[in-house]
Order: sequence, then C-alpha cells, then structure tokens
Amino acid sequence: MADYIGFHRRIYRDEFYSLIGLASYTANIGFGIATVAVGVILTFTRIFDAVTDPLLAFVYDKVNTRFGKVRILLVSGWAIMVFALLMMFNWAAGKGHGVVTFVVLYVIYIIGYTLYNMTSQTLSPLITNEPKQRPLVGVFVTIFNYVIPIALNVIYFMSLMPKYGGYNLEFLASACWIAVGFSAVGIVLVCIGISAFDKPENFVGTTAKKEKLKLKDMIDVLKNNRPLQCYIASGASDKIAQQVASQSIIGTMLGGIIIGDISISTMLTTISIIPSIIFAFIGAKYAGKHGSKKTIVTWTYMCIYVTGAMILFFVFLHMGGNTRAISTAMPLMIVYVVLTLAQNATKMCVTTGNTAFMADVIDYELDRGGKYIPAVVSGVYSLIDKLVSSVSALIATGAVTLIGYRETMPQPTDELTGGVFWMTMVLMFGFPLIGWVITLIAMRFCSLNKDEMVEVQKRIADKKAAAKQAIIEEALK
Amino acid sequence: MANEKKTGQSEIGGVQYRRASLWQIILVSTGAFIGMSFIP
Repeated sequence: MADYIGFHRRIYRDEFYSLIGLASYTANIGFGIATVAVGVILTFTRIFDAVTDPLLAFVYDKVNTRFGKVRILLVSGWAIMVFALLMMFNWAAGKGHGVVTFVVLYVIYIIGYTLYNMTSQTLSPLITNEPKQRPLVGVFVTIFNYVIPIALNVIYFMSLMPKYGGYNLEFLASACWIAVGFSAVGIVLVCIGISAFDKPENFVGTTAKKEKLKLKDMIDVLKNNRPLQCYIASGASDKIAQQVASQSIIGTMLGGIIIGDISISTMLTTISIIPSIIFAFIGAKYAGKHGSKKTIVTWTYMCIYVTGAMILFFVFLHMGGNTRAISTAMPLMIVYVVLTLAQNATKMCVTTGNTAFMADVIDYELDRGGKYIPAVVSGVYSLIDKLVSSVSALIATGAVTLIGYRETMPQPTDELTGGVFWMTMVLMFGFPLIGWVITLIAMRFCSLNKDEMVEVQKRIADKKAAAKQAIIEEALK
Repeated sequence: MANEKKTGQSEIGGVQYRRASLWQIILVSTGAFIGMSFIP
C-alpha cells in the first residue's frame, strides 16, 4: 500500500511525466550546471517563452504551402523540439559541454514548442464551428491529458528507474527516447486527423483582398475585441488563483498540517480522474446546448457555491478545535471527499466552457475584423496568461513568510497554528473565489452568447460568399 | 435539429456549419501525446 501511494505521489506531485520536468537533472548531470544556476536559467527562459507566443502569430500567417499550413507548422515545431531535447538528453549530455550549450538548446526547445503549441491551439476552431460539436474537442484532450502522464510515469518509474538505478545519464537518455516515441505517434495521428481541414479556403478572411498581418492588427485585436478582453480578464484571474492554490507548499499545509494525513490528497487526485472526465462530457453537452459563455458563468457560480461550502466545513471544524478529525472520522472524511470531487467537477465544466469560448472569440474576430487570425488571439491570451501566472509561486512563498516561514518551508509535521489555518484558507480557497468573481464581472461585459454566436456565423458565411463573388467578378472583367 | 448535408458540413437553423467526424476529433486530440510528453 505504501508503494502504491508513493507511486501515485510521484505521478501527481513531481510532475515528471513531461520530459522537460527532468531538464534540471540533465542540466546538472549532463552539463555540470549547479542547481541554483539551473533555476535562474529556467526562470529567464520563461520570460523569453512568453514573448515568443505573439511573435509566432506572424509565422502562422505567412506559412501557406501546397502541403497545407497547420501540418507544416506542427511538424516543424515538433521536429525542432525533438532535435533540442535529443541533444539535451542524449547527444550532447555528458560530452563536456557547459552552460552555453544548455541555454542554446533550451532556447531552441522553446522556439519549437511555442511553434507547436500555438498551432495546436488553432486546431479546435479549425475543425468545427458547429455549436454542439465545438465543446467536444476539449473533452478528448482532457481524457488524453489524464491517460498519457499515467502511462509515461509507469514507464519512467516502474521500468526505467529500477533498470538504471536513479537519475543518471542512461535513465535520462532512455526517458527522452520514450517521450520522442510517444510524441511521434501523436504527431502522425494529429496530421491524419487535421488533413481534411488543412486547406487554404479555411484560413481566408471575409474580404476579397488579402493583407499581411501587421503589428497594428495585433494591437487592434487587444484594443477592440471585447470578448477577448473579457476572456483574458476571466482566464488570467482564474489561472493565477488556481496556480497559487496548486503550489505544493499550500498542499502540504492543507493535507499535512490541517488534515493531518497528506496521503488523502494523493488518493483524491487519483479517484477524481473518472468523475472529472464524466463532468468534462457533461460540461461539453451543456455548452453545446447553452453556449460557451453561459457554461462559464453557470459553472463558475457552482464553483463558488462548492468552495463556499468547503470553507464553512473547515471553519466549523477549526472552531471545534479539530480539523484533523477529517483523517480519522469516516463521516467527515466522506464530506471532504465529496466536496473535493464536486470542486474538481465544477472546475472541469468551466475549463470545457473556456476551451470552446476561445474558439468562439477567434470566429468573432473573423467577423469583426475580417481576418482569420487564430494565432494572434491565442498568442495574445497566452502572453498575458504566462506573465500573470509566473507570479503565482512568488505569491505563495511570500504569503507563507508572513506566518513565520522565513528560513524553512512548511512541513506536514508542523504544529497547526491559527496563522497556518487562515493563510491556507485564503490561498487555497479565497484566491480562487476572487478569480471566479472577476470572471463573473468580466462576463457581464461580454455579449458573445449562444444567440450572438449564431449571428456571427451567419455574417461570416454571408461575407465569405460576397467576397467569393467579388473575386469571380473581378476575374471575369 | 442538426441536419446532415454532406461529410464535414451540417445545417442548423438555416446556418451552415463546418463539422468533423468523431474519429477526426479523437485524432486531433492526440496532440496531447506531444503536450504531455514535452511541454511543461
């Protein structure tokens, strides 16, 4: 049983399912870079990472080949990533190269992954604009997002780790080849799935004349696309709140110090997979019927209600003087488990609504500005999202210093003080509540509901037909 | 009510939509293989 819990703790807490999660190991073992320096390098490259997102929108706009647009971009991004990672984990690791080589390879990796990632975010609006089908795309991504990390961690920690006996060059090289293999299967399947839609007619605007993307177009989108502004306000506030709450020190304070058994949160993460997937389907069904905006608003209210109940539950127990009874008294444990699962489920429905809403915003921009610029919309959102979420670790660590953790980090065996309790409540539940309230306020200023989206699609179809007619008439003159 | 026109298209309330088959949606979603393997 201990091994089972330990295994799942590795899966969900260490987040080594992504190969890049092992970058600090290869930097240290393969390139001889000190641990402190690795942290500095990874932090600075994140800033570079945020800036590259909107810049890649220009590349997206320019690429048009007879083999399509998105397949070329996806395969190019993937190939650049694979090259950089194979160098970092295999071909250049342990060969006497130092910090310069590592930084260059890491920057190449970021360029590749930004190219891939930005393009992949444009696939959902590309394959369908049907209101009932659009939310379904995010559901299957959710399922794979749960399954792939489990598969990768089984291979990494139950096969490779015992074979090589720890984090060494051989382990890192093998893990890299496994990840490359997984991703190679993914890139082939994605290209097959998207091939029917990767055609020039799906990337044209609603006007007869073709114009190149300019920086002022990007500024114009940010300045005048009201649904995007609302989406950024809602998405960024949610993201920062969720990321603060998901910091491992906050998890340690809740699970270890307040509840008294940190393994409960690990168990909950595991058993919440199936309900989360079920609610992803429910969220998609709801979004198909009521539209993305209403899905976000309705399920955000649900998140607020469930989290409010969770706060009351903890405060009630704290006032009674024994929050640790959750880990020993079965009825209290059941209430905690049900509330946690309900929290995950309601958040999943908001996520499903958000994914579909991004696609709606892209189509809204096509109607508003006349240009099909999905990478601009997703790039601008991604830039702001990364900038705000980069401060989440700072907020969490800054907050715990206020309650006395200046030299050390919170440990599960620490004494439960009033400061620890209330700070955990604020960070774990208070911040997300603020994020959801901002979402509700932002959505009040957004008119892009289900009925408006039908009108948007009608106008796009009419404008495209008119543009096509104008081109034909021009050719006949 | 969704009215199937031809593969890749549907019509709801007089508006024509672009739509994908279920297998295309699933294959496109396998992009998560790359996301989960490589992307932080």
